[in-house]
Amino acid sequence: MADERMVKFLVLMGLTAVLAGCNASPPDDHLEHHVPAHKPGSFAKAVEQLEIRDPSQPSGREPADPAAQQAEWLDIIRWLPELAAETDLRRADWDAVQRASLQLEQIAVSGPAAGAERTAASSRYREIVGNLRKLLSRAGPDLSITHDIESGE
Amino acid sequence: MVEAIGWGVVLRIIQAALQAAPFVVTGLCITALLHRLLGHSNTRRLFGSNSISSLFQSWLIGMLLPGCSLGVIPIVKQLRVSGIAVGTIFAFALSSPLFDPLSLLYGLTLSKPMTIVAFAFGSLLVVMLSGGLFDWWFPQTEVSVEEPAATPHGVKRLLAMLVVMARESVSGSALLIGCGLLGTGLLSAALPPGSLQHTMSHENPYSPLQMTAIAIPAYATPMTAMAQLGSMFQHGNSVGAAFILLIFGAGMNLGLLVWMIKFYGVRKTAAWFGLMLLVVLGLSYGIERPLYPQDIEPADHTHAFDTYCQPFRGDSPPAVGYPAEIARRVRLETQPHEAAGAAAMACLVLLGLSLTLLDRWWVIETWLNRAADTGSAAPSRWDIVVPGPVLGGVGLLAIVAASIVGCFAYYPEPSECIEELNQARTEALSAAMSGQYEHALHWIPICEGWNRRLQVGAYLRTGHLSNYHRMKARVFADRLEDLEHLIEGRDPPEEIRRQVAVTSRAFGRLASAFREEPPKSD
Repeated sequence: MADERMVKFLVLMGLTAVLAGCNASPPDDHLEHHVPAHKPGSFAKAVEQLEIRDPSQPSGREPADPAAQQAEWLDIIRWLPELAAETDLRRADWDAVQRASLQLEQIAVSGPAAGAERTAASSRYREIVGNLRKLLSRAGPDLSITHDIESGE
Repeated sequence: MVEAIGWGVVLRIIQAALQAAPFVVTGLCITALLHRLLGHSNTRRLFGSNSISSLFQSWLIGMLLPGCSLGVIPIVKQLRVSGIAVGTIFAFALSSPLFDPLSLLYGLTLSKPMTIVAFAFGSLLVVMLSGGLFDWWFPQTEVSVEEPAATPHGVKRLLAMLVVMARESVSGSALLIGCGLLGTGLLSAALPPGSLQHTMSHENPYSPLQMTAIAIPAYATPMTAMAQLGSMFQHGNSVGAAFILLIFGAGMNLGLLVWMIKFYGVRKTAAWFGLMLLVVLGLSYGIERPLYPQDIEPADHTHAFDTYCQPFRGDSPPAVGYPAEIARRVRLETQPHEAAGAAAMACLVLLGLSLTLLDRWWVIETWLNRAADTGSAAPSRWDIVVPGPVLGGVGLLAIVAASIVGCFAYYPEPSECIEELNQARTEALSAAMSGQYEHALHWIPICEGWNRRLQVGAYLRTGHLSNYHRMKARVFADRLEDLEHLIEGRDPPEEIRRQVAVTSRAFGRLASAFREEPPKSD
C-alpha cells in the first residue's frame, strides 16, 4: 500500500514537472564563445604582442594594473600552440612553438629577477620570441579573422 | 505547443529506443548465457554476493561487458533469481553502462584522459560504499530460486538460449525498458528546446544538483555519455556535474528504479538510492576543483544536453509535418549498428510472441530440456561434450572480445576517417554557403563525430596521439562550433560565408596533418 502511494506520488511529481516545463519559455538563440579582448587574432599578432610586452623593454609609463598585465601576457604565451595550429606550420615547427610556449611560460611565472639573472632571462626571452618571428615566414598568410568576428569587434 | 511537445516525446523515445537496441540485444544474450549455460550457482560464483569482494567483482565484470542502463535490466533480473544480493546486483547494474571499449577509447583521447580514469575509480568508490553499506544494513536480500533444469548439449543448448532471449524480450523486462524510454520522453516534455544550454557551469554550485535531477530520468548510451563529457570538458562546464551525468545519466533510468521498487519495496529502494545520492554528490563536489581543467576558456553555454530537451519549437513547426520530420530525422541519424540491433529486437519480439501463443498447445522448453536418446552408439573420441559453464564463460569472453574488435570497425584508419569527414564537411559547408541552414546544422554534428573518430582511430592503431594532431583536430572542432553558432544565431550570410572559409582552411590543415605527418609520438 505504501509502495503504491509512493509510486503515485512520483508519477504526480513527474507530471507536474512536465506541465511546468511546457510553460517555460525557450532561451535566447544567440550563442557564442567568450573570447577575451586581449586574445590575438592570429599567430603573427601573438608574436607581435610578445615583442611589445617584453618585460625588459620599458614601455614608458607604469601599467595601471600590473597584475592584470602579467596575466594577459601569460595568456598570450599559453595561446601560442593553438594559434600556431591555425597556420600552415608543419609539425616540426609547431612542436618548436609548443616548446617555446613552455619556455616562455617558465620565464613568465618565475617572476621578476634581479641583476645578472634578470639580464639572462631577458635575453633568453628575446631569443625565443626572435625564433618565433623567424617561423612566421613558414606560417602562411595571416588570414585569421575568426576572433574578431566572435568578439564582435 | 502541445502538438510540438507530444511529437517531440515520440521522437525522443524512438531515438533512445534505437540507440538502446544493440545493447538490449547484448543484454538479452548475456541473460541467456547466465540462465542456460552458467546456471544459478555458477552465476553466484562469478559475481559473488553480499561481500566487499563481490562488489569489486561485479564492478569489474560490468566494466568489461558492453551494456547500457536499459540493456542491463534483463541481466539484473537474472542475477536476482540467481540468489545474488542487491548491493552486488547494483554494483554491476551501475558499472556496466558507464564504459565499454568504444567509449573508453573515446574518453582516453580527450584532452584530459586522467579525468576519465578518475571517473572510473569514482564509480568503483560509489558501488563499494553504497553497495557495502546497503548490504550491511539489509543482509537478507538474496532470494532462493530453484536451479533450472539443465539443457542437453548440442544444438538444443543454443536453441534454448534463443528461446530465453525471445521470451525475455516480451516479458516484464520489455515493460521495464519501456518505463526507461518513457522517462526520456517525459524529461524532454519538461524541458523546452535548448533550455539546458546555459546550465552546468563550473561557477554554479548547484550544477551537480541540477544534473542529478536531469540525469536520473535521462537515458544515455556509454558513447553518448562520453561524447557529452567531452563537450562538457571542452566548454569548461562543472566537472562534478559531468561525473553525475556519467553515473546517473548512463548508469540509471526509470525502468531500473521501478524494477527495484517492484522487487525490493520502497523502503529498501529509498535507502539504497539515498546512499548512492549521498556518495555521488559528495564525490562530485569533492572533484570539482581538483579535476577542473585550468587551460580551458569556459563558454557560457553547451549543446551537450540539447538531446534531453524538446526537439521541436511550437512557434516553428516543421514544414513537412511532424511525422514526416520524425521519419526524416530517424532515417538520417540511425547508425548501421542501431538499425541491426532494432532488426534483431524485432525478430526476437516476433519469436517471443509466437512462443507465447504456442504455449497453449506445446511448451518448447519441455522438448528442449529432454535429453536426446543417443542409443547404444559410443560417442566418438573427439566428440567432447563441453560443460555449460565453460561454454558460458567462453561466451562472455567472446562478447568482450567482439566489443574490442568492434572498436576497429567503429574507429577506422585515419585515411578512411578523413575521407568520411571530407564528405560530411562538403555537405555542411556547401549547405551553409547556399543558405540551407537546416541541412548544415544536420551535417555539422556528423563532422564533429568523424573528427573525434579520426583521433581515436589514430590512437587505437599507434597507441599515441601527438599534441600536434590533437591541436589540429581541436581547432577544426572549434571552427565548426563557431559556424554552428553563427547559423543558429541567424547571423548575416556574409559572416557565415567568412566562417565557412575559416572552417574549410582548418579542415585542410587537419587533413594534411594526418595524411602527410604520421600521428605518432611527440
